[in-house]
Amino acid sequence: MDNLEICCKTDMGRKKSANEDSLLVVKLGEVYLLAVADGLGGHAAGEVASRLALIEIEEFLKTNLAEGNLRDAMQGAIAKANREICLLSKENPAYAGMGTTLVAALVFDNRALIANIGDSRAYLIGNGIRQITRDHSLVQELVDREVIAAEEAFDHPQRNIVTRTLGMESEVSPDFYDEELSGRLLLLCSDGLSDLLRDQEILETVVASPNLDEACTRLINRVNEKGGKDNITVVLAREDGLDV
Amino acid sequence: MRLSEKLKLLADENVPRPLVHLLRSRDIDTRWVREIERGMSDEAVVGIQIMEEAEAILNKGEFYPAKENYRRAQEHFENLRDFAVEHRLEREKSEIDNLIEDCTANIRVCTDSLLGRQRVATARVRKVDDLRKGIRVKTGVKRPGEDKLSKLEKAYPSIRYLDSGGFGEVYWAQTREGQTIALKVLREPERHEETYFKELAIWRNLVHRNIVKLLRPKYHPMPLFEMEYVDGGDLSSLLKESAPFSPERACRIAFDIGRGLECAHLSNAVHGDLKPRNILLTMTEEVKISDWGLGKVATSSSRGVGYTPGYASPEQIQKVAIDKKSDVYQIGVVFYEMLTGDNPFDHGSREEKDEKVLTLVPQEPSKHNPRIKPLDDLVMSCLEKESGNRPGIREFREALSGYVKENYGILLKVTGQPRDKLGILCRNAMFAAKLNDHKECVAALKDLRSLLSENELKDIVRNLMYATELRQKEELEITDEVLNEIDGVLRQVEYGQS
Repeated sequence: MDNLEICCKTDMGRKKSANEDSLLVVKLGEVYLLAVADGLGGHAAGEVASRLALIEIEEFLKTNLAEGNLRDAMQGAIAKANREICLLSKENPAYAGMGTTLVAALVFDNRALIANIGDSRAYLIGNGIRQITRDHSLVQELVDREVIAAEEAFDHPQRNIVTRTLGMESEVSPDFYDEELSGRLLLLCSDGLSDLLRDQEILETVVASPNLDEACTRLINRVNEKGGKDNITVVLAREDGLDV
Repeated sequence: MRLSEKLKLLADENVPRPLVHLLRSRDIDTRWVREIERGMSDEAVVGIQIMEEAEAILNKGEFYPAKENYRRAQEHFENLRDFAVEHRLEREKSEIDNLIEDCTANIRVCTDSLLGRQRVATARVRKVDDLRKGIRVKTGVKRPGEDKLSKLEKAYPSIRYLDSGGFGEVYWAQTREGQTIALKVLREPERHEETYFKELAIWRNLVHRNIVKLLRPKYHPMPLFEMEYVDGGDLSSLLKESAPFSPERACRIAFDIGRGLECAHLSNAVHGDLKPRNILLTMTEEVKISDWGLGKVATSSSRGVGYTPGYASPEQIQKVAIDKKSDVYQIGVVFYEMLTGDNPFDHGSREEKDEKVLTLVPQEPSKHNPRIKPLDDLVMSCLEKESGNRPGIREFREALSGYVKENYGILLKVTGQPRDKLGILCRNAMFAAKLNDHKECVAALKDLRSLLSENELKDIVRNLMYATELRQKEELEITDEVLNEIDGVLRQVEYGQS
């Protein structure tokens, strides 16, 4: 793989007065690091958590990506971020209880190693759309236990309750997914997007867009048209030189 | 990582001496106070240096590495605080807490800057320069709610809590004259008045290299004993750390206990409570027997009052008259424990222990280590239930020295490290000196001198050699001064300290 074409956008949405989402796009040597984090916690603490998480991950990977495999590096980076958020929230009453979700991808040689905690998501979009990550949320658990059907999850009143975040406990266990891109688009997003747009709507919007930049804009616009009740962040990436 | 673990990791590297002492110390809690102080101080300085680095990085505007450095310093101080808490160093703890707080505040500043939440306000960064004033780790530890200690503090310029037992507490102290001593203070003077005078009556007559020296009994500001400070912990912690001992080491220690006891027995005193906790050790592992509180002057009517379960002799449990052979029994138990790592009587409830003392005949020590087969008979005879079947303390000592002499040559041959060889030679010179064996002592010193590389030390050893040869010619005994000199060389060899 030569280069990755990446576009990203974040928007406050229509209802929130601050943007607690953070995003990160950076090339570390030969590896692209893409990440979206959605902070939780009042009084701007959520913003601190999501930004700090991405800073910590980037800094950790800067020095630790070279040796060993990507997965170990990512695991270490997430653990470090988690520790820092825990410490900071313990040390500062204003940050008590803050946390953040995370979806991050290391893209290298046509493959993406994806890690997630919470309900920010990764999708692969080609001929169809496939959700890669499995949410750490109450609703997902209900689906898993077959208490509710997958279709009911989208509108479920408690769909915003996450069961796993960075900063919640001293140990954190992210889930990892290893995917081949093979010409497909990688989408990382916060739940601001996936809460209001069904998978099919996301697919339609992206496919109808002339380029990645436009795709990002249209996705955000479409969410805002539906009320934009949360911050919206999207990162789109694909191998350079391919059409949507 | 805990500080103690870290210290262990540091052991192989070139660490400052005080830390090496800490590593070697068997009982950090109780005896190595000044080493701990210095160790703490050194460790605190390490943390402060990290903070200084952080500050320099912060001044360059590199917030992330600055934060990481403050974090490192903070973790360092947290380990140190755990250590302080564990060893009841209250004042040090609060000083370290301040440093931790400063790290935390600076981390906050770095993080805020990192997140672009504000420009870095240098006024908010707590400078290390200001901190250093507060960090000199001072002597004197207060345990809250003890006016006893404040009274003592008036009498002694520097005082620290070390340990406590049934009778009261032991403190490390410095006198106005600058002498380092230990204090044994009665907890309830009214109740223990009799004990105090009884212990005094016995102890004041016991002047021997292997018995903790009573310096001055005092009744003001409260009943206490000023006594010799022994710098190497007690046998109980040494056992916990590294039992079973090598036969040589066990014999050396048992031999010293025997020497001390022999002195007591010659003045008709019985210790009555020999156990690892009452056997103190110097840094070079010379024995100092302590705690004569249960001791008695041996008469036909000496009955045991109290005893330590698991270490008491059968006659103590049966509450019949005890004599010197009761001490021989107890030295046997301690010896057994050093050789095998286990006291076979010290398991279960108090009643079970007593029952074992009365009935259990333990396995021979050589079942644990075939090498000590020649010691079986000696150990087992000490442990005889019938006191008349046990050897006297002198016999015990002589049997031991026979074994040590035989094994010494072998030990020296199998030891590869020159440094270890030096230690063995020193110890053998010491051992021979204690046996008043001039010839053997000179031989060991000669070997020692040939292996030493340091000129100054070489000269000392040469002088010792000549002095001992002279004593042999003049048929003079080898004195404690000679032993002190050899001990000084041993300290130099093992700890780089005189």
